[in-house]
Amino acid sequence: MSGAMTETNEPLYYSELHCISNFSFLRAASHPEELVARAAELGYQAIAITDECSVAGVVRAYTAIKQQQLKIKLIIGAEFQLNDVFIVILAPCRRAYAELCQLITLARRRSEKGHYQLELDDLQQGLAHCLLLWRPLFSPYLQSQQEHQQNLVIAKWLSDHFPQRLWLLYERQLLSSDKLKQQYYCHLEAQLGLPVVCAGNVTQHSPTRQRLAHILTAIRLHKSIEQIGFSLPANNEGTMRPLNKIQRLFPPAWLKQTEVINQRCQFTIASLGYQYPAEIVPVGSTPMRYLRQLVKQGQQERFPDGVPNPIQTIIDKELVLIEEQGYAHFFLTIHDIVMYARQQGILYQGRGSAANSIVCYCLHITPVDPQKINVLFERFISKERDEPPDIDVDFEHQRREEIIQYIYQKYGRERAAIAATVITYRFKSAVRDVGKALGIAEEQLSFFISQVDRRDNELSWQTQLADLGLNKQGSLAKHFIQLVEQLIGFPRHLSQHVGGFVISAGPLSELVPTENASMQARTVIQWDKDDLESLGLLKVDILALGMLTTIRKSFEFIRQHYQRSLTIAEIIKQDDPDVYAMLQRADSVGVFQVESRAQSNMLPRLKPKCYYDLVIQIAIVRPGPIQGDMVHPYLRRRNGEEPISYPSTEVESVLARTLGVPIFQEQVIKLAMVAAGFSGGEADQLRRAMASWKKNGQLKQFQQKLIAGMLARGYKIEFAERLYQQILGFGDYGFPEAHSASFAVLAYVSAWLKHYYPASFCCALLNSQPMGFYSPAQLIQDAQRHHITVSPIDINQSQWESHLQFPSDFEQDNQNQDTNQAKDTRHASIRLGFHLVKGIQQAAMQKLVQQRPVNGFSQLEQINALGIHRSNLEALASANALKPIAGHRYQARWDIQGETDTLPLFTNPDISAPTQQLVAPNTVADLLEDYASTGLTLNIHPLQLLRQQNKLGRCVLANQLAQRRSGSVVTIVGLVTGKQRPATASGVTFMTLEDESGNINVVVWQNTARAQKQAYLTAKILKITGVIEKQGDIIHVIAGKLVDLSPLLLSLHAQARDAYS
Amino acid sequence: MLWLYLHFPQLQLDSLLRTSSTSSAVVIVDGQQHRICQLNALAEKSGIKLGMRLSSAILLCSDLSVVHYQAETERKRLHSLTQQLYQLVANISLIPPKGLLIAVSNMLKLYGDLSTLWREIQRWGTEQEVSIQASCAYEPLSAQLLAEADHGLISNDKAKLQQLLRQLSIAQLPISKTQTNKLQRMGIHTLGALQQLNLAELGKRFGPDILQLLSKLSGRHPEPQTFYQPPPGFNHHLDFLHEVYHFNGLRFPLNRLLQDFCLFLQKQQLQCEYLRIELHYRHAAVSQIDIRLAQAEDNLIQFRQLIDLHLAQLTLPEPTIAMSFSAPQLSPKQVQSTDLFQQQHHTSSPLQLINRLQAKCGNQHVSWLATHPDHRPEKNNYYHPAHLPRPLSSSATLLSERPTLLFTQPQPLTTEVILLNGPERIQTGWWDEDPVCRDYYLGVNSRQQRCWVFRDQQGKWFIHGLFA
Repeated sequence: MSGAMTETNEPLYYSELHCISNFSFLRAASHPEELVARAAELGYQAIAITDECSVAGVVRAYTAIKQQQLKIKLIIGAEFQLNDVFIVILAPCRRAYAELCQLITLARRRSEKGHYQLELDDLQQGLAHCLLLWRPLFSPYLQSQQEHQQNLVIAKWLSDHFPQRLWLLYERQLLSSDKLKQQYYCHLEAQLGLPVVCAGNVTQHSPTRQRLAHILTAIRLHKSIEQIGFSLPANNEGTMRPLNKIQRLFPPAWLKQTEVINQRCQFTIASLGYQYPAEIVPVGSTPMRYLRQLVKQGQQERFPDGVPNPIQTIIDKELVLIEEQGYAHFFLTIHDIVMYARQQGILYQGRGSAANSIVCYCLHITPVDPQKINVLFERFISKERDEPPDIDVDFEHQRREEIIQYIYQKYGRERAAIAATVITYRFKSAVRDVGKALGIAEEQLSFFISQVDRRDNELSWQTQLADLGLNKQGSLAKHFIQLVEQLIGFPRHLSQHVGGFVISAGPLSELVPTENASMQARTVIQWDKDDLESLGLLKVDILALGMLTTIRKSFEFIRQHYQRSLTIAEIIKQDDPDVYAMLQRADSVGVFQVESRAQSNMLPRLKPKCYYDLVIQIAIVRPGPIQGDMVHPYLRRRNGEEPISYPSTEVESVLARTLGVPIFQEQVIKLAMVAAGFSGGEADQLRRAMASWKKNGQLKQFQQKLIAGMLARGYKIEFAERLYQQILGFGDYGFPEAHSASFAVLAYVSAWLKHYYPASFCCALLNSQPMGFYSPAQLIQDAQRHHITVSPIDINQSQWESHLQFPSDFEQDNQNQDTNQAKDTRHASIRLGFHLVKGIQQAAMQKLVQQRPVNGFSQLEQINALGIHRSNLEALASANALKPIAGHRYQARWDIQGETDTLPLFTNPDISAPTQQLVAPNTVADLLEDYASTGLTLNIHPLQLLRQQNKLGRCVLANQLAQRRSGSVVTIVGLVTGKQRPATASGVTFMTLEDESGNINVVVWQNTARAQKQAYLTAKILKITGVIEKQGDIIHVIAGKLVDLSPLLLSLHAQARDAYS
Repeated sequence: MLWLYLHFPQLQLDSLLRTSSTSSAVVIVDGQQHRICQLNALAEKSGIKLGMRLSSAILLCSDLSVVHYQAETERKRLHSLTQQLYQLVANISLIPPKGLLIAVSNMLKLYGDLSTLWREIQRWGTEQEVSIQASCAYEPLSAQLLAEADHGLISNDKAKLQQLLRQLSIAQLPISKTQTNKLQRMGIHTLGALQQLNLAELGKRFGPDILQLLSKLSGRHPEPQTFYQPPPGFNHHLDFLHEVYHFNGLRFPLNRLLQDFCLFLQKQQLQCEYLRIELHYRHAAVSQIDIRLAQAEDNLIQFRQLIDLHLAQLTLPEPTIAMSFSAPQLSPKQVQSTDLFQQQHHTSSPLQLINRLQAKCGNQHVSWLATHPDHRPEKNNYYHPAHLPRPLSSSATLLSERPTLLFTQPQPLTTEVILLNGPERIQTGWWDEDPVCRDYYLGVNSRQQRCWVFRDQQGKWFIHGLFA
């Protein structure tokens, strides 16, 4: 390594020992990666990243050094402000690093999220190996004797506790007081006998970041730049300095100390040995031996007729790989969690590359029989890609907390914590914060944000913002775009990952600091999942999935009423043509992943016939593949309208299963390897860059390499360009095949349930809300269209959740009813539960159900006597649930409010004065009350009502559209229930209108929307005249004229009041 | 008694459009969520509605002028409207910020009938360019509610008015949102329905407030009204018996006027911030002397001193024959708690001094010395015109180690200077087109003056100040 030459021609060895990154949120203006790269460029020996009470940025710095092979040493440290005392702590060795992590954890855990608190006394113990740089108090013009005395006391205390590990920290910011300060340090050095070391107090890697640094300060102080004056530094000396400048600024002896410290720091973060918890393995066994044993047991359960030979070969291969890579513990940990869930009857499913292995099938981590999807085997753990195995486990969303509590209880909070998610600045937040700091009015900023179309591929947001007349906003505004550009991607705070757990053998706080999350009793570590991956640390993803709740609840209904026990594995054993036929008709409301408008449009076109078709269907309707112009070719090839060809046999090996069209993320990665010659490591970098390219634009660096690589291997430039475009398209939403495969299982299971047990399935969906794409009202309408009876909420019939009812339930003689007899699915009806009533408390309703007399309540007084809060009863009254006992809902509400909360002792039945009789609601009022209290109605649909009143004019009903010719002009009217503007189709909005007969799919082109903005944006009821377009079974109406009929809703409100006028 | 209520639904917007013409859509927004509370016709045409959020409104109309609602603006405008209306009708009661209540019965003698009065008021409204929703009723509150709901009637027909009142939506009543909601959920949507209910049972469910409201509306609970009294102004005109040639000759009559004026002020507990003296001639145009005070006064000596200073600068174009004296804007006196034992009123306050300096030298020549938190020396302290509102004194202190005498403009350094301390680098100010990048030093020149010098980025040297 070369240093700058001093005047005496000695090379200058300089290490920067005090430098913060943008992980000291809103204080520093450079990414850790930029800091290490610049330090290497300047020829520093080492750089310490010393963020404020944090090590959140160090892994990124380490990764940058490793990937770019920078010649610089990384020192880990942190700075702390403890009341008057400012210190920097550095970790020279592994022990010191553990001490530092513990100190940060201590300081963070005792404060609320984002803050820390530390006292001098906290340094007394547990820091036996750390180096400490102390910045003595110095106020240039008021330097009092008292302050000096205080310095002496602190110095004495610190040198007692940090013998030979304490330095005075001298930093020079080019202020008028520099000379005095240096003199004072000389004095202290002599008086205390402590060495002085100099440092840069670096907050940015380049002088060009001054503006951003100022903006960050303004954001931090919630003021505008012009208001903060002296809170900004007088100059730009927080920049990393070149060696020759450093040499001019500091005395040589103090500079030398940086090298002394550098020599003492030998810890590298790469050496963090991660140890798995030991309790996973029984005493006397080894992880691998135990894993083999569990797989053996699982084999017998999964293959009762003996393992076929090819399968056995694969199992053996997988186990060898697991052993070589040292992943046995990881599989065991997941197995342990999954076994707990099985025991508790919590439904789960593993997904991810490793989840689709036979080992995982045998360990009951996934129910997918690998024989069905053998095509997936190539993506297990890729040894050459050196990428850690990927297994996420989804659990029922209403019961995931139980799993989390199990993990905490089993490993303790010291050893288990959730990974962080670094919340970074996005376009909107950056515009808002930079704008405020520049003093732009908030309304103006809202305007900018609403006007910029981020999906516009032709005009960049920069151009769009400039077009909005930003430049006229004054002198500050011309910096706006550049600052927003710089701020995007800057970390803002740490948040909690959705479910990534880190579990370790020893205390986690020796590995990485933990801090409080905003959620009560949750802690997060300071690293996110990329950091963990970079260091080869494994996390277990514990995720929540609503559909699993629905499936489990469906299974329970089926077991209870039809005496049939089902499992996911059993349902997916074979492909049922009837189930696929239903999906091909786009009859998919409620079905996992394929229920959305875009998905259900694709179903009749793709016509899935088998499990793997579903895997493709789920991945294909995503923004990625379409931006890459790839879906249509797949459909054309599938329908035999386009020949299937491959540019080479290597490419064929990757793309054959999707007819030559890349659909999955894995295929793109693999293509980069076989067609562009990427190494395993490079391909892994590509994979990560794809996941975050919108955030930081890292993908660009691969463009050149990809295209050059493919040209060199004889591919045409068009193919190469197209592949690159596809990668860009995948970036945001790229869907891995491994995950699609697991989702397809749940899609099939939910479709199967919908087909064979529609009432149970719908009821389970209602009980799993909120989830999925449709509201309870829409789910109920779908059920009704499938001829399922849905009964209203009833004080004497309903439970908290919705449940199934059968004619036999109403037979008088309940005693003789054989509850074990399987019932006929055709007779099942759904009784809506109290949970659908807005503003009602679960505990109160459960109490009510428990204390309900066998023959039900007969009087309001009985319910009143339960002592349930009156607001619950009012809500029940408005939902018309009290109808059987208290008359119409208006009267019920009036009566409830009249009840005085007297103790039963004093109730005097004699005083029963005739109460005020209220007028009963009319049909319209009933309808409005239904919507207001439950968001749905089982009676007349509002559109039917309006139609009966001849308010809609001539128009076609949703269920009549099928009989109309394609290309003919129709007029339709409906409630606007959905407006979707997928990124896949530029400029198009999919609108869903609902009338009493069903849903109508409307396509609104951008120009139509623009020309009729008001109706398009604000209408609640729309009348649309347009052209029918039919493609097979799919019917769209292409909107022409839009008329806002929302005033009709108001007219309904007026009608509801008619009773009194 | 018959009442007429005038409700001004978009008072702020009307006043705004009155003083500035605009061809774009204008909305006034209120509250945290920026909901539209007033809008002009153009905004309405683009589909914007009352109660809409600003963000949705922007989508409908990108060329939108947005103004924040200010009750204070409306209150002021209401006052001035009342002043004007007072010329037409006598018994007006202010219901800020948007309403006026008029006792009509007394006025009918003057106007003959209701429709004549109403026509006059409408004409006045057009003149004032203010939108009005109005209604009559036999109870003040009823008139107000009908007018606010735009459901009113200009009539003395009791039965018709009662019917309108019965149709009034309960959402228009001055009761809480929760109560409104409760009533609606029991099918009670109109005042008529509410009035039909058994009062005892209603009271049991909704509390005494609603009963009181009902009795106000039915006239069982009359509300006393306080009527508007115009604040007095002071106007006096004086024809001289003899032509006056020199301003000395004005002193005596002025003194008399001032004495009367101050007596008036003290009696009425008013003070004056602005007064105008006009001198009339036979031929020449009237001379106007406007006297604005930095601080409202009611003190004879203060006025006299100021007027003397102003008159001293005046040359009469020809002999003056008459003088008028007016003080149109009088404000209630702010009682300053002066300590009984601290004879503060003997010493003149700084503001009084400024008044006198301004009168003597002219407004533009009197400035405050102000500081601003900025590292750039030129921006750190500056002059602020004294007749403009004084800048809020921020925590901006002057930096130490700055010279006692700072040059307004740095001057090129021409003499040799020995540098004693430095550099102090000042490199900032990118945000206002006036960035600096300088290394400052403390130096001594050949005359043993301690000077503050700097080198700029081009390596040129300047002197920027001298230390004491």
